[in-house]
Amino acid sequence: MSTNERIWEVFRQEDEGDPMVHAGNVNAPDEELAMHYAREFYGRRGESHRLWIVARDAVTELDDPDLLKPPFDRSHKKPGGYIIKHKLEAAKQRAASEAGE
Amino acid sequence: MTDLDPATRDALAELLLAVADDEFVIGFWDSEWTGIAPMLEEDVATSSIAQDEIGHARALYELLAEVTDDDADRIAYGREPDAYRHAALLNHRRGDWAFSVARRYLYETADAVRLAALAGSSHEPLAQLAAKMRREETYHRLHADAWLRRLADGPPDVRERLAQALRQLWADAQQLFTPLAGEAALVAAGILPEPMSTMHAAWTARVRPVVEPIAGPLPDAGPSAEGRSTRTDDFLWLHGEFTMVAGGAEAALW
Amino acid sequence: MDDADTIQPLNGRPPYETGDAEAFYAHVGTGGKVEADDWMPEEYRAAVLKFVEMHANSELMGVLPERDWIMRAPTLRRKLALTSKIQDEVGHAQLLYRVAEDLGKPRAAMLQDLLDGRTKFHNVFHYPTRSWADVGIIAWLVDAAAIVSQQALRDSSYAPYARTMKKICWEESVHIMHGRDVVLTMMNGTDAQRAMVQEALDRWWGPLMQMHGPPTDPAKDKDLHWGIKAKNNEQLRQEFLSIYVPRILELGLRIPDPNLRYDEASGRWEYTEPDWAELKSVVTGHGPASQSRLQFRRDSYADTQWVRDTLLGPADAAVA
Repeated sequence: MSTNERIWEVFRQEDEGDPMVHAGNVNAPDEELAMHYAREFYGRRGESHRLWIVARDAVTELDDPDLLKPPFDRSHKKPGGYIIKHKLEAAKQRAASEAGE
Repeated sequence: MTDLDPATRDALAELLLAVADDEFVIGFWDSEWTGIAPMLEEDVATSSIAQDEIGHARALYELLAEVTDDDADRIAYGREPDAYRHAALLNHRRGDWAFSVARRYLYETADAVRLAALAGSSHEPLAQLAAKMRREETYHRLHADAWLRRLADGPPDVRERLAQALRQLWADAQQLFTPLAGEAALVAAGILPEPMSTMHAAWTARVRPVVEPIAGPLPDAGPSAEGRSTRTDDFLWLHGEFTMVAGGAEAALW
Repeated sequence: MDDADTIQPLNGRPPYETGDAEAFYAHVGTGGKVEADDWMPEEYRAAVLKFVEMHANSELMGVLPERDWIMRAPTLRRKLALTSKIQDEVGHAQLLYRVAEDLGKPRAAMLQDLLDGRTKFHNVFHYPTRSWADVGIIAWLVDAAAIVSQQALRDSSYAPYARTMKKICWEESVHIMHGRDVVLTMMNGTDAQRAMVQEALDRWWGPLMQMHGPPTDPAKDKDLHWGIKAKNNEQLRQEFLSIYVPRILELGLRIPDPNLRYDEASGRWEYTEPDWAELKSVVTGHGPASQSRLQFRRDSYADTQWVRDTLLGPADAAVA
């Protein structure tokens, strides 16, 4: 890579209120041209509402599975970890039979 | 356009043709960088700008076609070289990157002055179109300005390339403000909110302080009467190219 | 079972440890994805790099045949569409070179290898253009043949490449419409224009049939095994023929292959064996326009070297 060449990561928001999603990256020697080039590569069809342009070396990456996907059960942290179908049926039956008594 | 008297209508047509031809020809020259610009990222940027210019030319030719009851493509492609009315600045072929940067800087700054005026035109369709064009031209100016600074701040040989191009183009750039034959009528009707000479003075005042530190003292050149009617071999070549396919049989569809 | 306390696996695929090539290949072989900074075996990295670099080279060289017509586009709209289309191809080259750069080869080195003839680009870009009809045939059929393979690459095991292909495929679909519109317009024009389209199709058909390459033994195709690509050459060619032969014929065009027919029994297209010797010769730099195209690229690259030096500093700077 040439001395002044830097990589810039580009994130785009498709519409107002949408999340910023990683779009790709461009090479540019500085922030000003990075902005122009990001606009070209990720906005020239009017497909973006907003762009974030970040120097790649300013990004801190974390992809260690021990940190992100620890192996022990985390089901209590997600709605899907609560399986209530059978309990609900039992409770309803109980309530119905009590009402019928 | 029945509300305009014939003389004013002709003058409006002359104005629209001049601006449209400027955009058409610079769009063609700059589009030639597509695929061979210095860096891939820059290639895409330069091509977008060239496409914008062609898009503006198209909108202007369409407006002109309404005024003269003609067809935009016929106006763009169907004339002999001496009927084109672009300014002398656009008579030169693409040149090297410094030449293109110098020309685009001179052109974009002049176009900014011109569009600011036209956005106040009493001819409503023209005012609206100028306002729309200004939104795209903002980016063009930022881009041209970014490149001018980078080359000017480069090593001495790079700065000299740019300086040479600016000196070579200076006199021809003035011709963007060549007075139009029917200008008095346009100004009187408010179609052209200010005379070319006023715009020229505003542009010079803005551009000289930027360009002279790079190119050295520039002559006191001004617009000339032939500023929009002289044609060069470079333009004849370009005309031959863009009419090569379009100039075929009458009944052909492209 | 009610409140399950079972431990969920991280995902359905075997994980792999740095340095464990066998586990890595099990991962990609079962649909697993790889990111640029994940560990990968050197041979996988080299294979992806070679594949993506050739693709990038093809996009960049593919600019040139159409660029011949950029100053000749016959209407304002065609001028816009053609310039925009060529611009997209340059953009694709950038996207792909970026993917390849992150695999460890600098862009300047890839461009130099291309200019020096050390790396290849697709056969179709080694041929000259002769008329405006070529603009239509290239954008319609060459891009269509390309999109058939590119769509299959959206599932590539190398994730940055797969993501890039999603963006590229969308853009190519615009190109195909532009090309088809050029062809349709000419077919509705004069006899001379129709003849012009037919003449272009006659010239491009051979290279189009060669474009996906000769049938290969899928068992020996590592790119296929490792999920770098998802379909083999003959599958791609069959897919192209299935979609485009009817669309070509319905316009009254004639395909210059007397043996071309769909065999209902086997469910596949039969055709005259493409000239594989020509393909080999062309992609190794002996096509009718190979050397002039490369020379044009060398010249334009040299003409702008001073700009890159000014902005980016010297390439491969010795001082870190």
